[in-house]
Amino acid sequence: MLKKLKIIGFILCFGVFICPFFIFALSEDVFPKTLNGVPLTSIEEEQPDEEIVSGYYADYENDTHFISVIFWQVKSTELAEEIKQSFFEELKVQYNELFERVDWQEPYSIEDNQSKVVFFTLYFSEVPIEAGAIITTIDEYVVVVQILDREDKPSIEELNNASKELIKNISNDDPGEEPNQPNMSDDCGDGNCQYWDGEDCKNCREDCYIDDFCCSLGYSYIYANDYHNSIYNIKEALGGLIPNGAIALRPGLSTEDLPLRSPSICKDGSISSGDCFSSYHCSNGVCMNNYCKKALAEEPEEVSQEMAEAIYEDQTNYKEEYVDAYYELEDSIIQMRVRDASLKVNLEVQGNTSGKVIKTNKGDEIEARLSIINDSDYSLALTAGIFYTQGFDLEEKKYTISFKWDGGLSSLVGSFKTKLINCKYIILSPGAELIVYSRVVPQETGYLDVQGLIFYNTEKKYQKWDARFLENAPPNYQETEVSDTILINEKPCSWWPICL
Amino acid sequence: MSMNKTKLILLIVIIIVAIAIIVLGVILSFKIFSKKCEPLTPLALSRFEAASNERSEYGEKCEMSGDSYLLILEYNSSESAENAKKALELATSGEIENIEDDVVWINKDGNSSVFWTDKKLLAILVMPGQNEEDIVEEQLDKAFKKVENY
Repeated sequence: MLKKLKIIGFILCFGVFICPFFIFALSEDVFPKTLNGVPLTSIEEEQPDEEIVSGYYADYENDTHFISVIFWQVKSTELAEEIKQSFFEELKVQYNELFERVDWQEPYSIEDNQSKVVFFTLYFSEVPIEAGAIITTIDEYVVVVQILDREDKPSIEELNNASKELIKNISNDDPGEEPNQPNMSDDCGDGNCQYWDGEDCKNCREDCYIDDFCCSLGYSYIYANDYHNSIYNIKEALGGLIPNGAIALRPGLSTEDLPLRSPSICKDGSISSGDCFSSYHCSNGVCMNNYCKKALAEEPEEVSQEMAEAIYEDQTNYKEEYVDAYYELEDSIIQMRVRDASLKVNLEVQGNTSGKVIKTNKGDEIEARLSIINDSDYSLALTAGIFYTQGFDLEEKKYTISFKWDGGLSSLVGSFKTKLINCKYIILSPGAELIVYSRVVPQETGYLDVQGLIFYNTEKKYQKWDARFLENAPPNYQETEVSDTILINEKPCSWWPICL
Repeated sequence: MSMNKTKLILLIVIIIVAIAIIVLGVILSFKIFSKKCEPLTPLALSRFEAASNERSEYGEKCEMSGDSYLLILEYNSSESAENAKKALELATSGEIENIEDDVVWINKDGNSSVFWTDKKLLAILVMPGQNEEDIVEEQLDKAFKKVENY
């Protein structure tokens, strides 16, 4: 009996004294076997000293990515915070000495200052290597993740995901908190997540890590309406949907990369700066379409059926002609579904190449196509246009809108984008498609934002109408937006056509 | 004291990066050269079609070192690739020199471009700001390998 008690006592002691050691100290277990799908290749332990309680560093490596992780527990929260604040400055000094050249972007904070992020390009033997680093502190823990990518710029999501994956392990060690592992379903990652609509995001965290709605892998989204209303205070509204549409940001870009139009600011229904078309448009803080003031309302040209067909073909037939190239391009088309109006929206932007970041050169043409299909069983009033970053030096070459429905083809042929909005609404019958096509030549370098804006009205009175142009715009409308970005480089040489 | 610690962290990061760079630079440099390719869009392909009168349905632009890049265009037949090569050579102005049989080097204002075909493929190596023979040949060796392994 006494012996049994001793054993129980021993077990209890073990439980009380030893277990807390496992719970609170860092161990190799904090490193998952894979991080962002990249396998773990090595772990090394740091020697503890008066400042470091415990620490490890680990490498993850595959053909394309090299991820270095530092995971430390330091003696105090203040020390952790201090390390975070000075880390990137020091990193900059050290790397600048070590490499022949380093191009730095401005570091910035995310997650309420819990993390700091910096992106940079290292040059080694003239080979650029894209890199990004994130430092996160939680209490006395410091986590640094650095990603080197041999192909593309690492994205903020990649960094953030990796960092969160590691931090999650700290809270998992806490006995008070249940580990919150998502159920990974076999159906994830099968390409179904191309749209933000209709996916089981909660079980497919790898594909759709944004809560509450699905998105393309690596993309982030911001509310279109908030975008208009808080344009000067744009926030990273990752999540929530968005019946009124979203702005899609490519992987690697953040809202800080978004070139924004300079809007007019309205106050109490009147304009406090800029030009609004009328004070009616001034109720929401920002003029919804302040650019319309400059719309030179050219009369839409009447076009013949032949002309209409030629335009429609010009806008679409390359899909059949360049089968393989179009297949590649399809990956970079931004697709969106407007749920409350059942609209299928595609925005394609074509430069010279269609990698993860679409690229072209200053002086080369860009084509943009915005296609909207009415996927519902009723008609609605709609108009749409393609817009570019305001102030970006562009030469406009061509701008057409064509409209295809069961009864035939019609085209509204215009020369400039500005005439469209507030000009003609179209009744888009079920299955009908509106295509806006724009060709421009950029005359400066940098990221050029291409926006597709869609204004629509689902009022009952239009639901039975046949396809036609509306003489008067509906007094109310909803708006949705889809956008993409293209990188404009300096032309490398002057040979045509081989200098791409 | 905490600054010292920060430096220590950096030291580790630097070591990690140094290892990564050695791996990247030495062992995998070939991979870098061979992997950084992006598909050409129909818009770019139509430019080549307009200039050569031969249709290519697929092409890639691969970044080489510095500003140099390699264009690979796929044609339906080796004859089409050959015709496109001749036409594009004509459209590219400059001093012409044959490096090997059917490997044509065009040099203008210190910029180089080299044209050759490999069965149905047309390869064009464009080297802005580069016309030294050694460098051109070095780049060309890498490009040949890339096209062979395409």
